[in-house]
Amino acid sequence: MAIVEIRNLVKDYPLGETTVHALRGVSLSIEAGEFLSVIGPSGSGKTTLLNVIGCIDRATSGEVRVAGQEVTTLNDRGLTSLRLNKVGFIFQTFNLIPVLDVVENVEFPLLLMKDIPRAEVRQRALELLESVGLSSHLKHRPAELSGGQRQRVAIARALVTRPAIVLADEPTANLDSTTGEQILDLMRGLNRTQGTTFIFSTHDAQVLSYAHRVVHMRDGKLAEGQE
Amino acid sequence: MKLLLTLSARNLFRHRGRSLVVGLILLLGALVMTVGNGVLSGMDRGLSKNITDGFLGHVVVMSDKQEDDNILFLVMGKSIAPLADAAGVETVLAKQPGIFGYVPVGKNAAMALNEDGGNPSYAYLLGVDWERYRRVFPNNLKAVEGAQEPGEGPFVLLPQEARKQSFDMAGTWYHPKGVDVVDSSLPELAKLHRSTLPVRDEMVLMGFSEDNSSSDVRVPIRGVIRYPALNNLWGHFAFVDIASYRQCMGYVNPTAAVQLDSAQNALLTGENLDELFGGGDVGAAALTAIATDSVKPAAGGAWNLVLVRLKPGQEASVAAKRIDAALKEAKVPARAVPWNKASGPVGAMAMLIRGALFVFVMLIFVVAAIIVMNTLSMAAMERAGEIGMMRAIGAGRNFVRLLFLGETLILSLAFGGLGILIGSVTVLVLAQMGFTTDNDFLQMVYGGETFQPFLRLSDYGLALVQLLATSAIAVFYPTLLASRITPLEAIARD
Repeated sequence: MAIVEIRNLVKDYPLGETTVHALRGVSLSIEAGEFLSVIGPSGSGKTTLLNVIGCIDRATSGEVRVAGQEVTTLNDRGLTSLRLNKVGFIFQTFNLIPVLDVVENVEFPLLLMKDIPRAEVRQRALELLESVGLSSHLKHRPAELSGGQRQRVAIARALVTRPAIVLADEPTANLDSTTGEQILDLMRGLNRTQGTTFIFSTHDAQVLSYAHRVVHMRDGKLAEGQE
Repeated sequence: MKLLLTLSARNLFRHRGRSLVVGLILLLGALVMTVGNGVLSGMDRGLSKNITDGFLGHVVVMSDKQEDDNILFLVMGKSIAPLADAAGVETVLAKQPGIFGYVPVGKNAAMALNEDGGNPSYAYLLGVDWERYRRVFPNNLKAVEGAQEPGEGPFVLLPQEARKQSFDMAGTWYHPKGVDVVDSSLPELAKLHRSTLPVRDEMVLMGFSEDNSSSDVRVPIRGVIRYPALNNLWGHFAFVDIASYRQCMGYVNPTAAVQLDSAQNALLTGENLDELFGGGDVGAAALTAIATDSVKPAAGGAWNLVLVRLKPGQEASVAAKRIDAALKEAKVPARAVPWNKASGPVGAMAMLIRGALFVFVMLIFVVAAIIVMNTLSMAAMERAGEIGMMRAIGAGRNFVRLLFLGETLILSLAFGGLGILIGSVTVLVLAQMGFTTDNDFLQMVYGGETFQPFLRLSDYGLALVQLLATSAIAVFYPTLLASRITPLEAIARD
């Protein structure tokens, strides 16, 4: 079953008097439980593709279905709800909330959901932090953690809502190779054990060995035969 | 809610420097607004005590023939129209709610004749039934020399200020009957010429009637008085018993027709009018008869105004409208005017000063709001990445708005609350210091001779509302900016 369905996706950015064509008619289908890597040179449209799938950017034209929901017609409230309930994000620079400690950062998306009991919120956060190996750092603030530890927290935060897909934009770009490998191992493990769909963009060749499928992008298009 | 408060509080602590700047602005704004409110309340209370409760009442009922609402300080010679139906006015007032008391008075200017042959002086007269007046205004003056309560019979209670003006204009020094001249009270000029100083214990007051005739009356001075507050203003007004006042103003009616014989008629209709003043016995006798025996005060009592004091909590303008409507309904030819209009320049000045103070306080309010808005707007832009990230992982626009509101609310309540507290202490300290002034303008600001700012419970509420309004205005634009930050901003900054 496809968790993401994209048809003829076009994304243009007006830039002064010219227009940057970031995506030029991309069509792609991603199955639930996939561990998919999007690769390509800078400016090829990887991040834009992830942003549209993650509902943080809107398509200029085309169709995008995420977890069965057509996102191009959703308003801001609908997109926010979809991001909260169906999508998890892992950012290149971790993007944790600096004033919250580790466990609070992981709990944050669940608290936004409002209808989950407080005890369950804490339990889910603790379980995930244990699975990413950070049980001993619950009360640490992000500034007190290493890059790898921060990315683990970000992964736990992305998974805590039990999303249909997790989007990771170059998750290992700011990590050394050993830590990057550990993070990829962790993501792959979670993909295997929890069945979560992972879509990540990367420049990193070692990432490719982890992926079920690799999608190549160039000049806003997928390489032929990659749909 | 807990999440929002936690985030807000920690963000404030994280950005301590900026929080402190915004907090101090709010503190200062709240302090100034609280002190300003205290000064305004003190002014209100002072003016209320010293103008409405101490002299004029809250509402003044005057004749519908009276041209100008201002009846306090008129151009010399311009008279105040008498009430055509003072009894009707009193009947209407007796049925009105919220009235503490009311008293009819005569009020006009008169000339004080100089019996020593020099220039005359002038006096503003308040003709009163003393007992009734004191029931409505029991504690508004004190005697400096002579009696505070004039007793039976004709009297003048002359204010210090009016006595000094008389001396400056006419050179005569007045003092109460039966009381020696108090040398220490004399102006320097009078002291220099003490041996030849004309001294009088009676005033000869000459008023001008509506038909341009004049009559004078000799009245003994029973006391020299001063008003405890706004003495420079009220010190122009001398109290006179109402009978003397009416006679002085010609508020008299014939009580019997004077029968003139043919010789008297011939004299009055003759061409040689000088004969009237030529010492002829017939003419003099006729005129004396007209001037004294055949005229008495108007039946029912002639008055110019009725001063109305309201019970505490009553609004003067509202009561004036209500009384005015009742007068019209009862077809009484009179109108009711609130004190601030009736007191002319005094009321206008009081309102002006009050307005200026209010504008000043509001200016502080606006300046504080702008500075805080600017600072918070910059903060919103600085935090675009963080806010965008929150939006990316599922926080809605409302969450971002509430986050900013929460931060501002915490700052407002903490620093603004402290500002209100310090402002309250400042008001108490200022009141304890008891600054006094002789300056007319400052007396208006003080609401009397002593600066007595104070805060009512409602002022605390007002300060809180002003503080929250400042915060709400200040946070509106930054919140708008923050809520417009898209998740893409977080990615872009990534």
